[in-house]
Amino acid sequence: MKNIKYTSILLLLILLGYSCNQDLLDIDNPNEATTESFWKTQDDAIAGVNACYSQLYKEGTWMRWLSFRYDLTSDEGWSSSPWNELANWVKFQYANYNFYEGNNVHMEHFYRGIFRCNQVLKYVPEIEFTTNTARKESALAEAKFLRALWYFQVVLLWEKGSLVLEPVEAGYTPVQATDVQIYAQIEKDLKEAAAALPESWDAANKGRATMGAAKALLAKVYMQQNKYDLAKTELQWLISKEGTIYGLVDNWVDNFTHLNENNIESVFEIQFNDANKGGTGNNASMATGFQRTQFYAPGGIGWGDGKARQWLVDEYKKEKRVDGKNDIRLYHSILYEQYLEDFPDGDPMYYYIDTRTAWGPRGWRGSCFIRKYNTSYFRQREDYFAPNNYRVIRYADVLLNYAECIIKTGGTPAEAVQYVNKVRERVKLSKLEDSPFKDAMNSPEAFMKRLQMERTLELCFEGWRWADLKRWGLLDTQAGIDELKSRDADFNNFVIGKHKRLPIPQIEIDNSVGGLTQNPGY
Amino acid sequence: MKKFLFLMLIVIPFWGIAQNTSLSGKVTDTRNNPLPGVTVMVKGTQNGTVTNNEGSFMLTNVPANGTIVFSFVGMKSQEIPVQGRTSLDVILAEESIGLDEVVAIGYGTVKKSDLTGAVSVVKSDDMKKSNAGTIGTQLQGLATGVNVRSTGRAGSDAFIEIRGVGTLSNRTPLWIIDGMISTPGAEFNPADVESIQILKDASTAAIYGSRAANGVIIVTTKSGKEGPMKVSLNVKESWEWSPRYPLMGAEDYKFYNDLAYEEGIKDGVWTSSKQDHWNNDTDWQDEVLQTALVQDYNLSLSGGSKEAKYLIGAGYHNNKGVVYGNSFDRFSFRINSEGKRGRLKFGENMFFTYTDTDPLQTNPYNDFLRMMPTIPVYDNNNLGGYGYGSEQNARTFGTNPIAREDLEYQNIIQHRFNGTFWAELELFKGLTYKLNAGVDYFWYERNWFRGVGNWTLNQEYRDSESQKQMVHTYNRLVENTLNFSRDFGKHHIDAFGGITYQTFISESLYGARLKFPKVGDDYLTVLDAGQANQTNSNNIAENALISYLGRANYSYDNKYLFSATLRRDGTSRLSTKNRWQNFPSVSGAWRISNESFFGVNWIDDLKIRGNWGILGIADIGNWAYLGTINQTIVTVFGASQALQSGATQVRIVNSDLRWETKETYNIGFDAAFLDQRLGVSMEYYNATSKDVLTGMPIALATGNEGGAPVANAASLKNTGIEGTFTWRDAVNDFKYSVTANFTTLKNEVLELGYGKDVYYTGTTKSMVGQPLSMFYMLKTDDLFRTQAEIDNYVTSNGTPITINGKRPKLGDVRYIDTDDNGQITQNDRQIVGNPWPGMQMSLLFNASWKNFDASMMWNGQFGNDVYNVAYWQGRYFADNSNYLEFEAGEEPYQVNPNSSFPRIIYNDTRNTQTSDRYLESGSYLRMKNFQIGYTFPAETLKKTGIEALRLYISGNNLITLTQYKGLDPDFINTDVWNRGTDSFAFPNTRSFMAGLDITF
Repeated sequence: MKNIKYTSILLLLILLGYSCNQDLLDIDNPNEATTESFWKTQDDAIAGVNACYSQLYKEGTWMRWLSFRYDLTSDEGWSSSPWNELANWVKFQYANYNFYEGNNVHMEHFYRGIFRCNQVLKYVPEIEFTTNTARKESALAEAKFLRALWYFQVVLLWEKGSLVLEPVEAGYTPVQATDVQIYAQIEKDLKEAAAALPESWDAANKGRATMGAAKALLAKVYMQQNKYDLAKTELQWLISKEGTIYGLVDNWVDNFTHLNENNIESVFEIQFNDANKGGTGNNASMATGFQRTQFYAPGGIGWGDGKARQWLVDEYKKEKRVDGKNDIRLYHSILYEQYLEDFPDGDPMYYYIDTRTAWGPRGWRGSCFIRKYNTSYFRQREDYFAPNNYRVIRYADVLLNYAECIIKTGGTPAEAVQYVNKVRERVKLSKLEDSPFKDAMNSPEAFMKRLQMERTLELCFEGWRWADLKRWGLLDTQAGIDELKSRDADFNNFVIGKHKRLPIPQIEIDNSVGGLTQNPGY
Repeated sequence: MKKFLFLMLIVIPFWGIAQNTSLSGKVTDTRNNPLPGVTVMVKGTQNGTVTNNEGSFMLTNVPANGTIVFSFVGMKSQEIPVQGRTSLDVILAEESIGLDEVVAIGYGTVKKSDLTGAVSVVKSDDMKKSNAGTIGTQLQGLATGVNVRSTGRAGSDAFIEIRGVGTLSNRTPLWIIDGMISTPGAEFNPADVESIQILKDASTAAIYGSRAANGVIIVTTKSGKEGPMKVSLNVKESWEWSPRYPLMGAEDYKFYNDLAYEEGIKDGVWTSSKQDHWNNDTDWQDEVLQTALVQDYNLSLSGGSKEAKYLIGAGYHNNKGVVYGNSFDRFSFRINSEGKRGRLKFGENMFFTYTDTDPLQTNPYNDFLRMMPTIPVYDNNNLGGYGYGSEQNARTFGTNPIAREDLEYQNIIQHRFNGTFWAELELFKGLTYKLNAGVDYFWYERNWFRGVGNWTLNQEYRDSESQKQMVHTYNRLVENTLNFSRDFGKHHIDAFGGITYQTFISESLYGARLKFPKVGDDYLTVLDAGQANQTNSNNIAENALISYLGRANYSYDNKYLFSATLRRDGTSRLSTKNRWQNFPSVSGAWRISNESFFGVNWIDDLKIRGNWGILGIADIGNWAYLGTINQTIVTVFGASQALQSGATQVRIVNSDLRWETKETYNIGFDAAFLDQRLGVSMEYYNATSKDVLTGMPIALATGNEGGAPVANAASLKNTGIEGTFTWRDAVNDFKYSVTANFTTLKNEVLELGYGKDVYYTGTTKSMVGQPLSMFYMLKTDDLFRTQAEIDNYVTSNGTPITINGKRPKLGDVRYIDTDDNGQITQNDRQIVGNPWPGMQMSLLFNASWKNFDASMMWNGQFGNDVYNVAYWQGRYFADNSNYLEFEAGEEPYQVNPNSSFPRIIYNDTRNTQTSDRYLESGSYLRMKNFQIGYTFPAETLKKTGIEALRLYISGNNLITLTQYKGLDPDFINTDVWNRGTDSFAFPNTRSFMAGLDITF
C-alpha cells in the first residue's frame, strides 16, 4: 500500500511538471513582423510608402486590365477576344456584375492600394523622423497622392463607392459615398499632396509623385467636375516650369519605350522593369513589368484581345506633316495593313513576324492592332515583363488640358491654340491655323471639337479617352452617342444614363446589406 | 532435442492405451439443420476431423478427460469436455452481430455492447475489397454518416466528412494512427490496417476535445498473434479507367460551330466570317485518358509468444494513372511489436514510406471541353511543337493537356516516418500508467521544370524555369496517462486521466532560376544550370497544443452504463486571451434486455443510449489571429530602375478569433432480434456548430489581399437520423448478410459571421434559418417558341423585358424577371436549389457458399442539386470550344424547334447565363464495389504447406444509377460556400481487379 502512495505522488509530480509549461504555447511568428512591432522608424515609414507604389504592379491597374476599361471601352478601341465575357465588358454587355477581370479586379486592386495608403496616413504621423524631418511630410504627401489617384479611378468607373480613409476591420460593411463626396476627398488629398511634395526627386527616387504630378492630377479632377478655372490655375504652374522641369521630348516615341524614361515630358509615370519574372504576388521576386502589350499584340505574339478602331487610322491620314509625310504618331500608335505604304521607312518586322505576309485574307486582314507601348523594337516575343514605364500623365496631356481650360473659362481659340501647336509641331505638323482644320479657329465650339480630336491623336491608348468622353458630355446625349457609334459599333449597345458607369460588383452590393446600392439601370 | 523426442515416443503410446476412446456425434445449427464442414478437434492436439454432409463426425483417440473444440466460420465456437462420453451432439449458434467486439474509443477500449455513444467500426476485410490505394478511399460506404469522396487523382487521398458539414474550416476528421495523432494521407499503406473505429458524436470523441469536431478516426494496425510465424502475401492487380464525356467528333463540331457562327452573323453580333476549319479529327479524350494498371503487393511476417509479438510488413503500390501525366508509386515498410514482463508492457508501431508522385499540371476534364477536335496534338509551327489552334482555323484559348504535361514536369518525392512508442506499467491492480510518444516526420521534395513552349494559343513567352522545394515537417506527441479499471461486485469502474502535448514544426526551402541550357534534346534542370533570376524562399510553420483530459465510466450489472469526460485544451493558434477551452461530455445507456422484467424473448438485446457533449476545433493558420507586415514587397524607382523594398500589411485578420465549438446530443438504441439474426441501430443526432472558423470573403473596400481572413463565420445546426439494419442468416451452405446504412441530414444556418443575416457568393446565398449555400441564380421557364410568347414577355405594367439589353427572339431562353423591372439583371436571382442531400445511404451484401464468397456494396445520396459547370461549358456556343454531343430530340432550336435547347449563337451570351438551366439533380445510387472470391479447402492445401489461399476478382464503380449528366455525381467541392458546384471535378475511376491472398 505504501508503494502505491509513493508511486501515485511521483506520478502526480510528473504530471504537474508538464502542466506548468503553458508558455510552450507562446510561439512567435518567425516569418514576418507584426502590425504591432512595425511602424516605428523612418525606414518603416518609407518602406510603407514604397509599398503603396508597389500596388501599381497589379492586374487591375494600368499594368493590365485598366486599359480595357478606358481605351477599349471608349471609341478608340474594341475587343475581339475569343474570351466572350472579356469582350462583352468593353461593349456595354454586362451580364455578370461579378466578372472578375472586367469589374471586381479593379475595385479589389484600387482598394488594396487605398488600404496601403491608409496605413501610411494612419501610422506615419506618429513616427519621429530622425535624419530628415521634411521627408515625413513628403512621405505622407506621396500616400495622399496615390490615394487620390485610386479614388479618382473609383469615380471614373463607378461614380460612387465606399470612402475608406483609414484601415478598417474585416467586418467592415460598405457605406455609400457619392461622386461629389469622393471628389471632395480627392481634392483635399491632392491639395495637401501638392503642398508637401517636392518639385522633383533626385536620380535615385525618380518615379515618386511630385508637386507637378499632384497639380496635373488635381487639374484633371477639377476638369472632370467642370471646375475649369481651378484646373487652369493648377496647370499654369506646370506650364510655368516649361523648359526647367517640363517640356516635350523631340522623339515622340520616347514616351512609350524604356529607352528614355522619366524624361522631361513625364509628369507621372509608373516605373516598370523586367528584373523580376515572378507572379504578381507580394514578395521579393514579384513581377514589376508591364503586361498590356501581351494582351494587345497580334495573335501568335500576344492574346490579340484589344484592337484599335479603323477611324483613328483614317483620322491621322487626313493631314500630312509639313514635309509631306504621314504623321509618325500613326506609325507608333497603330499597326494596320497599309502601314508600310504610308511609312515606307517603317520596319516590316513586328516582333518575329514579317508583316508583309501576315495580312492575308485569312490572316490579319482588316485588323488594326494597338502598337503604342509595343516592345518589338527590342525583342522577338511578348511576355508579362515589359520594362517600358507607363506614362500616366505627360506634359503633352497637360498642354492640351490647359488649352481646354482656356476655352472653357472664356478664352479664345487664338489664346488656346499655342498650347495645341506645341504638341502638333513636335511631330512636325503645321500650326493648327495652317492645317486643313484651320476652321477650328472660328469659334470656341469648333476649337473644342478639334481639340477633342487633337487629344485622341496625341493620347490614344494612354488611358484618358473614357474620362474625356465623360467630361465632354458625349456619353450623355444622343448626338454624342451617335458620333461615337459612327466610329465604334459597340456604342450601339450604349444606353444613355446607364452605361457611362459600370455596375458595382454584385458581391459588394449583396454583402453591404443595403449600405451600397447598385448604379441606376443595372 | 533427440532426448526429448525419445521421451515423447515412450510416453504418448502409454497415454493412448490407457485413456483414449472414440467419439461420434452430429452438429446442427439452432434450427436443427445439419452443419457440414465443421472442424472438430481435440483441444491442444492436431487430432481432428470435419463433419460430413449430414453434420456427423467420428473421432478416434479421444482422451476421456479431453476437451473437443467445434468451430465453423460464422458460428460461435464451442468447447465441450468429453467427460468419458462416446457420443456428443452439438448445436452451434450463429455468431452474434459483434456485441462482444471490443471497440477502441481513444485512450482505451470498451465492449461494443457497452458503448454509450456513436461509433462505427470498419474491418480490414471490408476495406480490402476496394482497389483504392489510400485508406480514406477504401472507407467509402463502410460506415454510417461517413461521407467519403475520392479525388480520382493518383497520389491523393480521399476527402472525408462525418455527419455533414460540422465545420467549414478544416473539414477532415482527426486521425489517430496507433495512438499517434497524424493524418495517414496517400503515404499510408491501407493494407496495414487491422480495424478502424470512427467516433462520430461528442461523447465518444470528446476525449479528443479540441480536435474532434469533425469526428475522429482511430486506425489500429495489424499486430502479431501468438503462435508460429505466419507469412501472408496479398497481391492485387487492377485496371482502372475514367468515365468520358460524350464529346462531338470533328464533323458534328464543325456543323454546330458553323451553325452558331451563322446565327451570330444573322443577329449582327459577329461581324466576321465563320472559321476556316482544319481537317483534323483529334479525340482529346483518347489522347489523354488511358487504362491504368494499378498494382498492389503486400507481404507480412507475424507471430509471437505470450510475452512478445511482432509483425513486419512491406508493401508496394503503383498507379500508372488514368490521365496522361499522373502517376503514383509507394513503397512502405512497417514494424509493430510488443513485449511484456511482469507489470511492464511496451511496444512500438512504426512505418516508413517512400512515395513518388507525378501530379497533374492541368485539369484535363476542363481541357477536353475546350480543345476542338480540329486541333492536332502536335504542330511544328508552334513554339514547343504542340497544337493549340490558330486565329483563323481553330480559335480557342483552351489548354492542350498533352503539351502542358510534357512541357511542365513535376514530381514530388516524400519520405515519411511515423511511429509510436509506448510503455505501460501496472502500478497496482487496476491502475496502469502509460507513456506514449509519437513522431510523424515528413521529408518532402518537389521538382518542377518548364521547358520553352506554349500550350495555349497566343500565350505569353516564358523562359525555361526550374524550381526545387524541400519541406521538413516534424510532428511530435507526448502523452502521460493513468488508467484505472476495476470491478466491485456488480459495479464496474473505469477511470482515465492524462496530459498530452503535441508540437508541429514545418520548414520549407525553395529555390528557382530561369533560362536553362539544353544538352542535345534535353534541358539541364539542376538549379545551378539556370542562368538568370535566382529566387528563393524560406518559411516556417509552427504550432503546439497542450491538453488535460479525463474520463470516467461506470456500469452496474451490465444494465446501467454511464460515462463522462472532460478535456481542457490550449492552442498556440489563438491569442493568449482565447487560447483555452473546456470540452465536457456525458453519456448514458440502459440495457433493458438485461432487466429481469424484460420478457420479450424474440428480442435478444436492447439498449437505449443518449449523450451530450461539446467538441471544438481550431485548425486554422498558425498565426491567423496575428496581423503581419509583408516586408518583402518591391517597387521600382530611379534612373537605374532599381528595385527597392516596401512593407505593408497585406492581409486583414480577425485578432479576436475564438475556438469553434460543436455541441451535440444523440439519442438512439441498439437492438438484436430473432436469435441475433437481425440487428438494428437507430440514432437521432443534433449538432450545433458555433463560431465556425473559416475564411469568409469580406468587402472589397477593405482592401484585404491574400485570401479571405479566417473568421468565426457562422453557426450551423445539423440534424438527422442514422440507422443501420443488418440481417444475417444461413440456409444450408448458403450464408449471407445484408446491411443497410442510412443517414439523413438537415442543415440550418443559425448565425453568420460579422453579425450578418445573409451572405452571398456569386451563385449562392446563405441565410439564417435556411440551409447553407443555397443556389441563388436566375430562374428560367423554357424557351420562347412563338411570337405571342415573346410579345407577352412584359412586366406587370406592360414594359417589354430585355435580356442583355435586347428583346428575345424565337428559341431564346425565357428568364424570369423577378424584380419586374423590365430587364434581366442580377437582381432577378432567386433561390433555385439546395446543394445538400437529404439522405445518404449504403447497402452491403455478403454471402458465402461452400468455399465461395461474394460481396457487394452500393451507396448513394438523394435530394441534392448540382450546378454542372461541365454541362454549361460543353453547351456553350458563344465562344469556341468542343461541345457535348446532342442526343436525338435535344438538338438546339435551329435544328429542332421542339427541343428544350435554345438557339445557339456565337459571340452572344444571352442563352448561357448562370441559371437553373445548369442545375441538376445530384441523386445517385452506385455499385461501389463487388467481389467474388474462392478459398481453397484446407485439405487440398495441406500438402503444399500453404495454410490459406484465396483468389478473388472485384469491380469498382461499375454501375451508377443517376440522371446527373456530369461525369460523376459523387464529386468534391471543398469550398463550402459553393458546395454543390461541380466545376470539372475529377471523376471517380472505374476499375476491375484480380487478387490473391496467401498465408503460409
